[in-house]
Amino acid sequence: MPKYLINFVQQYPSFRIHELESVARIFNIDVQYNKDDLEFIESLDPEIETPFLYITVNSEDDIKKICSRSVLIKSIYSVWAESTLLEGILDELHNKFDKKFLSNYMVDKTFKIDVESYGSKYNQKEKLEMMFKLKDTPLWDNGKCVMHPTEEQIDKHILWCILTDFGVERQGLVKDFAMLPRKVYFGQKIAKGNRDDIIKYNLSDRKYLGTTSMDPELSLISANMGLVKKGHFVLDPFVGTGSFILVASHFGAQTVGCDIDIKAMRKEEDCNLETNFRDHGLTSQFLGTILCDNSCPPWRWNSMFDSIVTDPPYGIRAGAKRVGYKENRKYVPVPEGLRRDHIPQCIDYSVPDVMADLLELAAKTLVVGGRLVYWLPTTPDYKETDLPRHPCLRLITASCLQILTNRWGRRLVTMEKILEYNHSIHNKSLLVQEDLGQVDPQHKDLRAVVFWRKMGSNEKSKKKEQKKQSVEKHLKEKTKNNNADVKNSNNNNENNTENQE
Amino acid sequence: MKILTHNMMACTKKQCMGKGFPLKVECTEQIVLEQEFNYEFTKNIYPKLDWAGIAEISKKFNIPIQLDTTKHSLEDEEFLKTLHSLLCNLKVITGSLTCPNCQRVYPIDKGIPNMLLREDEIYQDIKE
Repeated sequence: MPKYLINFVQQYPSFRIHELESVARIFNIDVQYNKDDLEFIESLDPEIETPFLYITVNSEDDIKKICSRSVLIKSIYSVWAESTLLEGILDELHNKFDKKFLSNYMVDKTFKIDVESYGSKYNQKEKLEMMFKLKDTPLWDNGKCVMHPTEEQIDKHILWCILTDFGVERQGLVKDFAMLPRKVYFGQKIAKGNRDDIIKYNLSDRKYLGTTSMDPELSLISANMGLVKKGHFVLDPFVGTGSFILVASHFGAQTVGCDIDIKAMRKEEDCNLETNFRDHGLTSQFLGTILCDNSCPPWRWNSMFDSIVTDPPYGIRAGAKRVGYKENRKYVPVPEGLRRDHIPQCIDYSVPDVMADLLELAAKTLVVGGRLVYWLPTTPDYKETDLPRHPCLRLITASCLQILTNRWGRRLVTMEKILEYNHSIHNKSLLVQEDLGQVDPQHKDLRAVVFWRKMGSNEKSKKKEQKKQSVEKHLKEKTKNNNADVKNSNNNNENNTENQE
Repeated sequence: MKILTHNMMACTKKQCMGKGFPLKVECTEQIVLEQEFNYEFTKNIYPKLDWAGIAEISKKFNIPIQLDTTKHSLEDEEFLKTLHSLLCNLKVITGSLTCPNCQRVYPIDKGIPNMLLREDEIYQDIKE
């Protein structure tokens, strides 16, 4: 099986391998890689981290398929030679390949050479120097250099690449100390990752937006983790402005969304969730939205959704709400005539309850093998037992972490339904805490963690208060003195006028 | 609300669990969309449908469709096309849904069904 080199994008290192595996599963591709390399791929330590990973797959077509979906892959190369120096690459090309093979390889083909680097940058002159060094190899005996291949040429166009890996921790030092790269690779670029879709669904180009609209890159990753593909049926129970179902529709699924807040889904007649679908030409992939409360969902309890992809409210930007009586209110039935347009009272919906209901919904309505993908807020105190669980669902991964501040971040949790829901066994009242997870979870009261400055009195804010008071006191005294000065000067003036008279 | 959504829905009350469907449709405004036939999706959704709901809709909107599930075949493209156009092309804009079990009426406005219960109904649910 041929070996290929992946160059991942720099951000979200903990998502890389999970997205790759999910995308491979969408196309039923068998991907093999060395498990020991994962440590470097997922590491946050600049000393050892690297975005390069070797994988083996069956064919080049598989690589192209993977690249058509994965957003965390920059490009994939088939490597011809690797070394720690550019000169080493020339030696390896000579040793590894037959001269005849090299000189015949480019017959009737066009090519272009690129120089790419990680952790450093080359200017045009340096790039050209590197390219000219390659001239010694017989690879360039044939073939024509073309910068912009025409459509007829594109099948026989080869993109050669010199890839240098300096590592991110040496950034800036490279030029001054003439440091050597960690690795230099030379090979063919097979395909580019699906970064274009991020631009296509850019938030600033989207007409209808909300405060909680999800970043397109993360939406695409979530859809990939949910194995969304053509012909699927996808639900987002906390749809908001519909970022997830928009990209799910882009991947060919039919989508439906629910929300408790009608204003989140449609603000105006000509600017709402549906017009976003129209703008992207996806109306035929959109089934509609339902106004409902997720604590009592409006579904027939049957396996029907292929995936549920969602970002539940966790009370930081959007507070979670459910229909119910506020405390200290009397029971007053709604008058008959006002019932149609009645907007019910809402009470807070605690995050552990949101998660428990979401998992129950997934257990009941997903098909077996279908995936539930959701974002869970976490703090550094996160532990495995915080995660909600359900006997019908199996955890695939919860290690994808987006760090937002040093106090909190959010995890992309992926689960798979493994068992059909049976009301007599999986009824909520029959399950114990151990089955449901969330043992004293850290996401129980997240507001206190995120808005710690505003909550409670801590020393810093006290000091600030004192400083503020002293400044005010000082200002008051100053204005008093000023007033006195003005009075004195007035008196002086009067005296002067008297003297003149 | 497209008919497929209707087919997947049920009354939200806890007391109606397992009995609150198919919801009875009243429709004052509807549109018929023209969309391409989606074979993969129709095939995927076919085993998940509630045929009592399809029967209800076909009677309501006078759309003839073969309801005897034993005679259906996934190879019969004509049948799948009719099914797809019934499920995805017909859209109810204004109207209401009624639960066959508790007779609760859910309004549909601007194509969005309002499945929210009133706070006192939730209160009743908890009491029961």
